[in-house]
Amino acid sequence: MELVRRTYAVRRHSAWKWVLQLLFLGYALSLIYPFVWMFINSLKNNRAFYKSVWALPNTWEWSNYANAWQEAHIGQYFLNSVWMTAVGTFTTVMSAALPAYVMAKYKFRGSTFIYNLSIFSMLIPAIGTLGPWYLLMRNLGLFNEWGVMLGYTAGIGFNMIVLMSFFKGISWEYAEAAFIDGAGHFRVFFSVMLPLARPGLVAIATVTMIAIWNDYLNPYILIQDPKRYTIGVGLFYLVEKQKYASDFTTLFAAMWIALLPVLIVYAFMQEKLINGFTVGGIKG
Amino acid sequence: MSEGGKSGFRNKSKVQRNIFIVVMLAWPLLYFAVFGIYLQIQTVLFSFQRWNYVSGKQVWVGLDNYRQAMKELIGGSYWRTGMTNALLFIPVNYVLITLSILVAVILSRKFPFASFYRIVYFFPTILSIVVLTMVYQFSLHPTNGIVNGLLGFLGLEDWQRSWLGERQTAFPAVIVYCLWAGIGFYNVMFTGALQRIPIEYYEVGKLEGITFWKELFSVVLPAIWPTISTFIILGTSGAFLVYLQPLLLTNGGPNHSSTTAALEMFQAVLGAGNYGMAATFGIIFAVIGSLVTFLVKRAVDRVDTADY
Repeated sequence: MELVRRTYAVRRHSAWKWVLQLLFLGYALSLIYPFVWMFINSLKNNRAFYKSVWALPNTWEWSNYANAWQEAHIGQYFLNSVWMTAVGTFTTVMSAALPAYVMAKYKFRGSTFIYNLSIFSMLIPAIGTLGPWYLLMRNLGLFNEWGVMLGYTAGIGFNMIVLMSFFKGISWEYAEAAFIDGAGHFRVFFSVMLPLARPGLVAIATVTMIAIWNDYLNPYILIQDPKRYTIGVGLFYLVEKQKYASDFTTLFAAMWIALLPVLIVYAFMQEKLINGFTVGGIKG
Repeated sequence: MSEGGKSGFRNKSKVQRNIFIVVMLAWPLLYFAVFGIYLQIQTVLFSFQRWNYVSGKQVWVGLDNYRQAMKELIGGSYWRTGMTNALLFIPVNYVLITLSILVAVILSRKFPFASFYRIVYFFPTILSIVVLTMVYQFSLHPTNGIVNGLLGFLGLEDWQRSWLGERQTAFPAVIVYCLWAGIGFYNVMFTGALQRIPIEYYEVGKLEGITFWKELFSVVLPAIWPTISTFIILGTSGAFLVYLQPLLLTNGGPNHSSTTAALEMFQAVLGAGNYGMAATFGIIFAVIGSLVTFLVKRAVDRVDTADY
């Protein structure tokens, strides 16, 4: 009796495993398939695309990629995004690291207040500020890439909290040794403590890099000059354009050009990236 | 060295220390003062003003904006749909969190191909939302999309429809997008939390031979509760901020059926230049959102957690 029940349980268990495996596989395919489909169709000419969206291309039109890069200006947007991402990642990480370090390692009046303020402001859905922000940026003449870059220097927030817990984990003895050697506070921060926080900085930087590369909203609102569009904004306008122009194969090629750097970073930094999202162990 | 010299040294070092702290905090605090506090005050002031469409002049109108906002929320305008849909995103976020916990727990148990799934599920977190929504739109395309294609293949032609173009299905399709694209991010978060559970936690249960569900509820969930509660709280306040997904998928349509509170705000500012009403609704939504968030926070904080 006992044996029968157990084999039954085992069989039911393995049936469950199959069902789960199928569900997980189905979800994974739903995430992979659209990009494969897009890639295949990015190599067709438009006639073949409209004839059948499922068939394989009969001629492989790699020229779509050249078209996207040149004529659809994706190359230009790509380069704009490259420098903005590089500089923006640096400023984002540094402006979070500066307050994070003093708040983690120095006792001063108001430090708890700043901490609570940053937590508090994360809990309030402050959507109403969009209008005042829009007018402020307009009045300051920041309707360009510099306005977007300014947005990447907000220090107080999520990154600061994560880096705080990182700095807290670094022993103060390293700093003391440097102080005895006659180093000043800035020296200790830049040449002792900052290098020691490297794992945390790299994690945050990787996440930030991808976020800025994909950033769409601020560049969309602020950048008015088409020559200065980032890749996210450029793609958006390309999507809009295709609703009338219907040159989808070039659009798909453009999208793959935009995806590629992220996929390459992901392939190489996968571990660090995922760690970046879990560092510090987010808790309440 | 004399005593006096020493204290002189101390004073000097104290000044240096204070200079250091001030310099390090100067920019973040200035930024927060402008983009956090000043803009918030401006929003409150804007909510008592109105913009003349023709001259662009600002006029003080007292509580008129609030009166009109109440009328629209009660009477049932686009704002009311936006508000309802934003509130609906709270349970949607909870469903998302629940699904992600289940996925993370299952993947943490020697599940075949677990690391493959983890890598693939993370894709939506790192890929551009413009591309993702575009891809999703294509999958739901009335004639060329895979969803209708599969339905046709299965002989379910009656079920085929223009998913993002019809009133009844547009908003559900936006929700499905958020679930489809959202699991990976939370999955990684909960995987991280699961990895931090000490092994000893499982041992007593293993000896007693408890079932999967028993272990889930009495060992796993209490151990990762701090992470869960954080995301419940962030998911609650985040529901009021959702607008990129409907903006890119349906632009809130058809006829505002898939709009959200934040999307209406976005369009009031960028489309209509209606800064006064946008600010008023912004304040109302922020108040409602904060109230709901703090109520949820209180409820969530009451649950006992395991310390480790």
